[in-house]
Amino acid sequence: MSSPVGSGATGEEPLLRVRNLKKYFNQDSGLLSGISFDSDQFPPIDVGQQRVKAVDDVDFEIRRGETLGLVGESGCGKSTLGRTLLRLLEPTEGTIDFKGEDLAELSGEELRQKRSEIQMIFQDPQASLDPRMKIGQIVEEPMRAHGMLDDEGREQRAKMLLEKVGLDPHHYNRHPHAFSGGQRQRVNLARALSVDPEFIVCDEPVSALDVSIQAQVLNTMEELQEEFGLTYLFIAHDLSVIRHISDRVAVMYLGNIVELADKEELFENPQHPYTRALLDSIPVPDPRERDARGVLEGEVPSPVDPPSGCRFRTRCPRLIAPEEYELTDEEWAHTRTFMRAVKRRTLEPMSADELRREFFGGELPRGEAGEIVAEAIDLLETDPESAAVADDHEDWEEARELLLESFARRSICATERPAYELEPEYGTDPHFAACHLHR
Amino acid sequence: MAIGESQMGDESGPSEEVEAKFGWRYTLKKVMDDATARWGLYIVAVVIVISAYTMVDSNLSRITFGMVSDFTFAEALPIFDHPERIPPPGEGESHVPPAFHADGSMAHPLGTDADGRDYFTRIVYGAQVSVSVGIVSTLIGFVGGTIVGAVAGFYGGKIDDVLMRAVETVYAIPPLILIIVFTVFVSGGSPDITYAILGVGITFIPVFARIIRSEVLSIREMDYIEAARASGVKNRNIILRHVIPNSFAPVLVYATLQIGVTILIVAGLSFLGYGAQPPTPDWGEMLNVSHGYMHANVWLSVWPGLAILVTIMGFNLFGDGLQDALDPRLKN
Amino acid sequence: MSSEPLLRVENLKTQFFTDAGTVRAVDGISFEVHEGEIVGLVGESGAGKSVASMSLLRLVENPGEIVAGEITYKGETIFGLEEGSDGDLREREDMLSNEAVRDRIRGNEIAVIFQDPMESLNPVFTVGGQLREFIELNRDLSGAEAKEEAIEMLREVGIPDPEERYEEYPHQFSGGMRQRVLIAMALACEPNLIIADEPTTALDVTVEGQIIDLVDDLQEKYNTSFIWVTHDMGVVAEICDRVNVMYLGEIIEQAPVDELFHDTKHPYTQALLNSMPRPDRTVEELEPIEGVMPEAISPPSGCRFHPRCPDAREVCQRVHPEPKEVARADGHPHNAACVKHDVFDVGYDESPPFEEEPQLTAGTPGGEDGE
Repeated sequence: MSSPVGSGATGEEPLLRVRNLKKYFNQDSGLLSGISFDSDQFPPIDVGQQRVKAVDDVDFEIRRGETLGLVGESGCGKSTLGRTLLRLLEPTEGTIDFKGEDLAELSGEELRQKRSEIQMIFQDPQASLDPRMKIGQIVEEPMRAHGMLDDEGREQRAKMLLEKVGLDPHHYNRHPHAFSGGQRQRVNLARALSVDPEFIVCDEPVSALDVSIQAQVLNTMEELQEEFGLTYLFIAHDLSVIRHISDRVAVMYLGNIVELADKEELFENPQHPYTRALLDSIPVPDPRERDARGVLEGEVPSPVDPPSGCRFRTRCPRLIAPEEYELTDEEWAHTRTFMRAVKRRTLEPMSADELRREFFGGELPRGEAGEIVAEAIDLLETDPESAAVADDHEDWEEARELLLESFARRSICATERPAYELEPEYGTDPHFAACHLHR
Repeated sequence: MAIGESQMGDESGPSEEVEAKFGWRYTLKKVMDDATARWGLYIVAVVIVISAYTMVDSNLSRITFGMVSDFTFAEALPIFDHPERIPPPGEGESHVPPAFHADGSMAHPLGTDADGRDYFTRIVYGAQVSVSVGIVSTLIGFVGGTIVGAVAGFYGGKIDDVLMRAVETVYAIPPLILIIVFTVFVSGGSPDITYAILGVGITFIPVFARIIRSEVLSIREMDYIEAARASGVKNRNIILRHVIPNSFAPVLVYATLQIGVTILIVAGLSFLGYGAQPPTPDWGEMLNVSHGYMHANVWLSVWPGLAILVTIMGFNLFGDGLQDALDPRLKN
Repeated sequence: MSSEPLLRVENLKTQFFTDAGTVRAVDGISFEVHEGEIVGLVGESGAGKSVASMSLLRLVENPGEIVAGEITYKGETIFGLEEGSDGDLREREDMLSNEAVRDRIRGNEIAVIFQDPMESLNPVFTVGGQLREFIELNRDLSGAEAKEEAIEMLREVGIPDPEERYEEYPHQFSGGMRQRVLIAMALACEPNLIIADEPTTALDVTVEGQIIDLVDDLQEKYNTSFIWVTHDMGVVAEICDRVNVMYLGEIIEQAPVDELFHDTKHPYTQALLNSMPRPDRTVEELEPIEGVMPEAISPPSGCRFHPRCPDAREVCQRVHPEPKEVARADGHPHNAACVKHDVFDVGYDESPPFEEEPQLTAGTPGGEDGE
């Protein structure tokens, strides 16, 4: 199983290398946590935590001076990943190799001191600055925490930084509420820079800003990166912003990185169905490009019990057929659609014939697959005259289980977790895609 | 202004008015604008000034440690008599009605008590017990509660569990019991105002702890706390510099309102005999004594009752006004 | 499509009277919505678009007030003022009463979809119950009939298993599902016009795509008109037929959507488009608009955008342009409030360039609006 390790064109050691990183959350907490009622067994008490697998076995590296974009929708774990890198959250497993040291292993005081080298910029310009502190103090606080300079030195540096980020140093004594969102984000930038870090995790730094302000702040961030030689992990959900600012891009879905490649390569030559779906969904600011949009059906599964193998398989338009049935592409497409309609209960009550016509054009697949489908149809059909409602629910369940068990769970997408490295069309960096279509 | 983000949009300097929406001056102005709150503040100010003045004169340590002192001001100003000295038989006249009554005179504006002592002086000097005890007890509760609540709320987990269970246990004990326990076991039997202060103060710790803890729980999730951690600030500094200053406001309001309650409790304790001991003038004690003379001289109960009423109302009105002034929703 | 517009707004002004001064949130906007079309109301935060859309249904509360203008819906006056005998403005006779607006118009004729579905749904009542109540109030059906209708609507907006989900609570729905519920509520009473206030802003992009598809389908089916309030130009390009661009309380450009993007007539719109990164191609350099939108309490004199405008001339500081027709396309006018167009004839070409740095304080020289 390969992983997205790029040795990089220069062959230089990466600044940050993350291996097998996991962050699981316990759902309950408190004295009686972990104990739940389970009527199916005796004694009817179940001891064991339900865990939210927010980040599940993530590998990547970041090179010095680059901007790695990390993109994904809400709940994918990107924010959790960012915070875990900084150990604002405790990693459940895995290593975070930063300049030769494993951050995951560092103890309290060592870790605290390391914090001068890695900083974070937060999303909410309102909540990320203490409303009762003056911005001068806010910018100085990290310096104080690490015993940098003396009072006067810190003040000088704070004022210098305020200017660098585009604010008037005379505002040193103002409170955050006197500034606009864009300006507050600049204060955030100044604060992060105050301890002269090498690496900054930017957690959606411009998402809360208006478009024209976004552009200003992004430009400032790029200037600062050049001037101070910074490395960014840029977390965002807005693909346009990611496309502009990143050198390489990683796409996350439900706790996994599903694709990682050079920026141009990812956008022009996406190799994962989820990435494709994301790119297809974005409204383009050009009325002459009104493409199909809502390409993804269903909802994101729960991170407590994520799908086995490839986590995207429950919604993937390219789910691979189980080998054993030897279906044609068309047959499989029909079967897959049918199976999902049953799973999501988007079927309207229909007779067996109607079901056959609706999903298979009248002709069921050959062989064993066809038999299974027929069985499911039998369970599902609604006879307009009889319709015994009490049975319906059980029948649905049975049909659903039958279809999922026979098809979805036997696909390679369910049995093996995918990870492949591909040749890129643009640039030279290897293109990582977690999709069995490339097997 | 419900129009999207608050826009200062300014590289050269925010306007002064916006700056002033924060801080004590603005809060004070808002309180003064509200008529009822303003009067509350006046009453509170008057009561505190009187207490302070009389405390200087008789000194608080006297109350707590039972020493005798001078009452020099009382002697010097013609308006006052000695608040505690009982006039020898023949000199003073007991149960003199207040000045506006037919039989009264300006020598004793509020009349005299059963022992012939000037009631006006005793009411004035009685303020210090109620108010100082009220304030000190509340302060004990406030400081103790803040420390406990902030630590419990910030660290969470087992520390939170242990602290809060302890707090709830104390909460279950009525103040009177605590005071009796102190009185009996610590002092060996004689009730004293110190135990009243301590007992009441400790019983209020749980309430403050709960309020602070709930504020801290929400502040703890704020990004700026995480930012402080990410910057490498030590936990105790985070609590001192970020958590406590931001969780202050609701507790402050509660404390002002609590002072009123405390005064009432202390008066009740004195009424029961567990607060200030005679001859120390104290409103609750005076009420207690006046109980026995209801048919003979009803005025003895009117003045201390009125004093308690007005004082508590003053604190409550001020507390309400403070709450309105600090409420961020009304800020715009 | 009839030529008479469904909704006509003329010179609408909504102001907020605060301690700090009068905020002119909406300062004289005029636009129309015809049957079956989706009209965009675009602007950044502070432009006044939400206030404008709330004003249409007279949902503006103290300290806000509609101080001028006329709002006509299907010929009826939702809002209109006239000069009384004492010279003061008072509400017109033919203006609908509060009760009439509440009972007949809101929900029935004109419905609203708000931005944050979690805030708009009551967490202690079931989703189905809320939907049913809405239908009962507005459509004169019995409880049982309304429930059936509600379940149908849930199915219509793509919520799987509607009978079961009818009994569930808002927190059991995902963001996208909740938004569908709000759409169902808006559509349930078969309104002619739906005001959608940033309905997809809080949603993930794949969910946003689903919702946009849904709205497109439903619009075709029911021929409902939409006023789509947003700051996202991508969504505008995707879904709108005509667009109004707002800046600091005014509409500065109005055009059919293709013209707005490919034949932009106002410098603000152009600057906005130039400052955006794009998903379909890599934008190497972003060109941000200098400065920040000032506060609506004391807007700049003359053209409100002039301190930040790359094309500003001296005359822009003195002349306050109203939107005038500068082109025509598709049978619709393309209006822009910018004096550089000939139709304004104020000597733009002769005027020297405006030199000052963007004065970003609220109190710019001149401070007051007007010529």
